[in-house]
Amino acid sequence: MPGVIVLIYRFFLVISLSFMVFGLSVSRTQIFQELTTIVLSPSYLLTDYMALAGVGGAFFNSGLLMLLFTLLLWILKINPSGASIAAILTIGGFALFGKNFFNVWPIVAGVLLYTTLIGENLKTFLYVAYFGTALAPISTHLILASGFNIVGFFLSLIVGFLLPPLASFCLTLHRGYNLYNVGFTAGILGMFLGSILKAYDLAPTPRFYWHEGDQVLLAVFTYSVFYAILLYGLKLNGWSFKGYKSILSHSGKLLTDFVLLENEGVTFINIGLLGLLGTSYVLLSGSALNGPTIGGIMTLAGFGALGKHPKNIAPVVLGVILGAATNSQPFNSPSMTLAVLFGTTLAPIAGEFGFIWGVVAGFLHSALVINVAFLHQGMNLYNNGFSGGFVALFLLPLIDAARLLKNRILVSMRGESNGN
Amino acid sequence: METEKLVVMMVNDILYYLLKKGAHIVDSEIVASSRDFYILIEANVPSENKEVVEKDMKILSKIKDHPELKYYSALSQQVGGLEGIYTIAPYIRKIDFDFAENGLRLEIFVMR
Repeated sequence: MPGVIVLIYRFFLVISLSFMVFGLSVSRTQIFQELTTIVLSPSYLLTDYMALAGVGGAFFNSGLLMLLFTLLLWILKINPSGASIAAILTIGGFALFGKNFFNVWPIVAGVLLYTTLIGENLKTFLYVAYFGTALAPISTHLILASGFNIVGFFLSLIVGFLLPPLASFCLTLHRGYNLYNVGFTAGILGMFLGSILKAYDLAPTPRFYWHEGDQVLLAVFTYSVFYAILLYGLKLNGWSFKGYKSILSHSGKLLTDFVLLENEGVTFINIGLLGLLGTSYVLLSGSALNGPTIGGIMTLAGFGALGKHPKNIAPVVLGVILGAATNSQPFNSPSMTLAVLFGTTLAPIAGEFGFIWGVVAGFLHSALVINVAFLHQGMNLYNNGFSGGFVALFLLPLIDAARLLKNRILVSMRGESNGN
Repeated sequence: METEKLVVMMVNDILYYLLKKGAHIVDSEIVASSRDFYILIEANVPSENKEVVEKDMKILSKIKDHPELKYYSALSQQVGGLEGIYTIAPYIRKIDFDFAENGLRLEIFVMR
């Protein structure tokens, strides 16, 4: 076990430093200016830091956040598992379009404050704190909208404070079939906060930053990262795919931690493969590699350690593509491209109930996801997790009912044939 | 939640899990001392499920090293799962299990 701990910490360190070095080499002397722009600008959806500040600043911010959150894991003496990999890569991904080294901390502090006040082990809600940074744009909005506002800081702290009890409850609503549970939770919390802001005429104006340049540079870097992860996994697994088939047999429902259930070698192979698939999809669909899409790819890959694999994401992806191809949105529009990448939050539905239900889930998600962002005024970065939660809790009772009906029909058909 | 309640929840989850795997529960025992709880569960597991149960027990013994996963214990209400163990993970000092033929002997030490 200690070997696994070292391997995962080493992975975090290497990926964080790679992002920071890449960011520095692209931006060079502009880095401080870019980071200042990132911190001081509103960060709600959709703010691509590459378009807002620059490619280098976005990557440096991402690497720095991954490094800081890894440091926090290390300080708290966490033995990293699949959940840690998912959390760190998700944070890194969203640090390309919404999270920065300033706005995440009030949320984290709020969660830790709640944990301390109820007398729990500080580690208990650590991942809620990590994933809860989905609400980081609220911090920027409340604290930095007009100079530094101390009241805004305390309000952001309260937002984090409310997350743990809500997140635990939300798990029971979708029964673990929506992998981005904190995204769903943050969406519900964000919905109330967004409504309050709107009621008092404090809601932010919509914004849309979407970077479309530097495609060769970004493709080379993204492919290199995921090829390296794949090779790392293969090396740990004795240069073979042995045991990978076992990963494909899991439904992916929470909590399917591949590091605990299988081993770190096949987990890294899965992460690498999902990252490569995600990158290829974005490029082949004619969309652009940028902050949001690379963030989506990193989240998809990160959850390759916590439930996702090619077999259970394929039906959901197909469902979203089916929706994108037939609805009014262009097939490779930003919202549909992100729906394909992040819609894989519903992979456990396909893993547990089969291909058809996976396609249905993806199709419903493609429609719902474009209609829920206004509820939280773009303050919840995990908009797809919010939508995914609703899709799961809508579909689960229907799947149960369909199964019940099917069984009844089968029983009555058997009864008839026996009667004959 | 008080530790006694957590201990009982966990034992219930494990017994339920074993029953769902077709096991015959031979003995379940909770010894309370001033410092900790000692839990002993003995069961005869059908040979066809032995491999699965052994794998799950190995996972349980790993989970105790990951108290941060306790947050997911809200899912323990799902039938047949072992998720209840996450609830008590931060307090578990040791999990030992042993398969002799088809007999499972599971020992858990929980801090008060």
